[in-house]
Amino acid sequence: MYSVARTAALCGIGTVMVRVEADVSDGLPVFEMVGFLSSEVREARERVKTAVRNSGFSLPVKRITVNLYPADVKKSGTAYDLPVALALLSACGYVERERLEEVFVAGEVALDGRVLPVHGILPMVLDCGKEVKACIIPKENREEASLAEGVRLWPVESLEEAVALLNGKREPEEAFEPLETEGKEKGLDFSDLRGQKVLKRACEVAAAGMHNLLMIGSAGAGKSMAAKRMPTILPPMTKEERIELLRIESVAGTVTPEQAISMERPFRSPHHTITPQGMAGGGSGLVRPGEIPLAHNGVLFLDELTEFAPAALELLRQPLEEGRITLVRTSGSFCYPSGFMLVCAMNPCPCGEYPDRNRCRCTRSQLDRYVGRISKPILDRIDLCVEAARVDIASLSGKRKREEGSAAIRKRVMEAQERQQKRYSSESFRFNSRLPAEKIDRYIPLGPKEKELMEDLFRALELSARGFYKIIKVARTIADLNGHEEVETTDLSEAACYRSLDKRFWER
Amino acid sequence: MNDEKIYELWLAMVDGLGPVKLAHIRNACVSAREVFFMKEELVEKIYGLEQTDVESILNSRRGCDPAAEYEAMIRSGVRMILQEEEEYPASLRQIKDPPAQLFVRGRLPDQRRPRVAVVGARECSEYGKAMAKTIGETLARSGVQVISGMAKGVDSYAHLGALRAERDTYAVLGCGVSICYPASSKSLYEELPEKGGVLSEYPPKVKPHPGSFPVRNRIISGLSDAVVVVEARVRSGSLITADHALTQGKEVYALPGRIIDPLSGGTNRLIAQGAFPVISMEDLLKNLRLSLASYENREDKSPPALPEKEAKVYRRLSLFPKGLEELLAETKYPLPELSKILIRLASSGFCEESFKNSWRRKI
Repeated sequence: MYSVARTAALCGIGTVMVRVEADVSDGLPVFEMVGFLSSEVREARERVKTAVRNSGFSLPVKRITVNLYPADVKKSGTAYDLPVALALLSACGYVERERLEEVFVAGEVALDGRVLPVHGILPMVLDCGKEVKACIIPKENREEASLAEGVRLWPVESLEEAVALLNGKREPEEAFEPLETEGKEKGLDFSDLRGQKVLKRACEVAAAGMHNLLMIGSAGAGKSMAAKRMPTILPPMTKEERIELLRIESVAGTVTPEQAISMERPFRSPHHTITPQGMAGGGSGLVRPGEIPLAHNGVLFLDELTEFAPAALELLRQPLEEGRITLVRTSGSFCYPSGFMLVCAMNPCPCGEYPDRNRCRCTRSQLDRYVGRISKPILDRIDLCVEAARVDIASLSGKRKREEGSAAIRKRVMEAQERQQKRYSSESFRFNSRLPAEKIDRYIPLGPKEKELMEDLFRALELSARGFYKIIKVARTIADLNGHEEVETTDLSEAACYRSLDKRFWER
Repeated sequence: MNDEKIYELWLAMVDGLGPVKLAHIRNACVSAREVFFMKEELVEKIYGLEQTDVESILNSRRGCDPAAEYEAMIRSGVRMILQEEEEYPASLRQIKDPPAQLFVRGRLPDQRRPRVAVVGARECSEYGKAMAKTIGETLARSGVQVISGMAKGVDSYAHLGALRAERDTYAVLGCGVSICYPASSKSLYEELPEKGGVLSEYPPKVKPHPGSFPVRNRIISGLSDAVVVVEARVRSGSLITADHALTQGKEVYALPGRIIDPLSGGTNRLIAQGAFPVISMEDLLKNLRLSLASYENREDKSPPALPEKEAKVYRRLSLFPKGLEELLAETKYPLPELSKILIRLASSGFCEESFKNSWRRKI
């Protein structure tokens, strides 16, 4: 008897359709599995054989052949267990062949017949095709899979349950209602930051225009604290953004049920010892997305920027320019969307006290080495830079003033982003930070007073052409926040205060 | 004469011969030229030379063309002045172990005009930088030739101040004058010979060596009438210069600082030991018996033309940098307005951003 089950192989964040064929014929009782399988798929043979028996089915003493096609796609991962088991059971006559052909199946099987969760369920379910009647998936993956609209899900807990569902002996559980999309609060809020007006404002401006941000200041000044709260002032993700990101998270296997339904933007904060592979993505066979793709639509925070390996930082160039990252590995070329906001933090010097030379005892060569580690290409792509000042005792011990909370800031940020979207409705970009230099004159015309100020600034601050344009772009975002139709001198002056880091600060 | 200098240059370039051993050679009543052509066994007989010195003299003679070396030096714009020449600074001849020769790019300080050394810590504070520049500029405007060591920090700012006054200033290096050390002082190194000079006792291509810097400090003080120490820790090279100055009988001035600042520890101690405290520019000039004629007090310049708000912010600023956060709290202005005022003050030259979001008065 011959039977076939539908499943899929992950390829980047997309999928390739895969069919599992099972054939039971006369011959010596062997179980053969072929079809370009990696070792974990080949092991499915033992798992499936035992699980099938433990679920109360008996296998005939016949030759069993299982093939996974197309045979030129490398199959890896554990999601093939369930389709192999069902195709086999169908070939043995326990499941109707036609019914199996019209469903999509993915899942890992334990020896006792339980169905275990797998990575990448969302892209599989999203791409399974219209002709599929239902998707048989592990129950633990259902929150994640439920984000795919218009797909019927049959979440199962055991192999037995899957067989019963296919044979119509059991009703599929009614459509699973995803929990309210209003994600639970993580409890982080900008009002936790005491004082630090300048830092907070810079965060607000960065969020409003999706500008990359660098915070500089001594340890304990609140840099990480502010960065962690960035997602709370960014607008919540749209459904499309959520699904885009979930595809990546699903492949990486980092999705938890609560996370699957939260609309809060991701916050990734890799440790500075991270390898280039950890940053971009790696692994043999299926390339697991790294920190860069996982920060898609959210915030990538690099604490201790100067401590990162140059090779890991260089990887940021393509995503910062193009919003995606392409990885070429032996198993093929993979492209992950990676549009994120970069937030970096660093100390002013190894001891953290510079420029107060009465406290900082770093030698000149230590400083030079430290500053030399700031990557120029990364610095070029950072629009805003701000100092996180040491907090004085008064603002810590004094009577707790009502600090502005994230909700109020987020409201302003969203309004500013709406203004930008209206302005750039005919363009491919949506934010001031993405405005190319050649279009600045068109979208950000300056009045005579503003032009004069910019000329003064150019001279007084010894700006470069790049620095000049950055100030104008940031000023546009500030004007959007302030509700100004045109950029005003106040906006430009404020932007000048956040202008990018100047290596001259460390000279002499 | 030139002929003799050719061989003096060669002798100066022989490894391992310091002022003491060179003095032994001179005591033996031989000129550099004679040493060059002396028979090997005679060289060995010069009193005070060790076997290694004799070997390095003999080695450096082999295949050496002193005339070509000299020619190359002159072509690179470096002059050599021997102690016996008239051009050699008279004030330097009077110190203990004066350098046998000076190598110069540009000019030597004019002995008829006053000369003051301004020295201090390399890793100085913003206060030190600002004051070094002010003192350099003030002295230069009053006709003083500012002498320093071109090191980072105080030295550089003293030179820069003098250059801002468009006056001549001189740097004494601890390495050869064909080498720019520290490399970050490149622009100073190029500008100094045009306005004043860069000098050293070492032949042009001698690399910097830790031991050579304290030694050159005796030349800095020796060339000067007085030494001003701007910022120095309790144990530091600037105090060595002050010690040299005292043994050479020069006046020592020190800039007082807060007693909690380690960078003012050395200068405050100097004052306690009897150095003149620099309490104002006028006072410094008066003590140096210089006229105040061309001196303009920029430090207390209260800009009367400033609008009220800008004047208020300006009053809050000082030479010690102040963070944006602190200014916000003090002035109670909203951030956009405060930044506008600061940028306006900066573009009209009243203040500057000394570090990210740290502002101070510009002088």
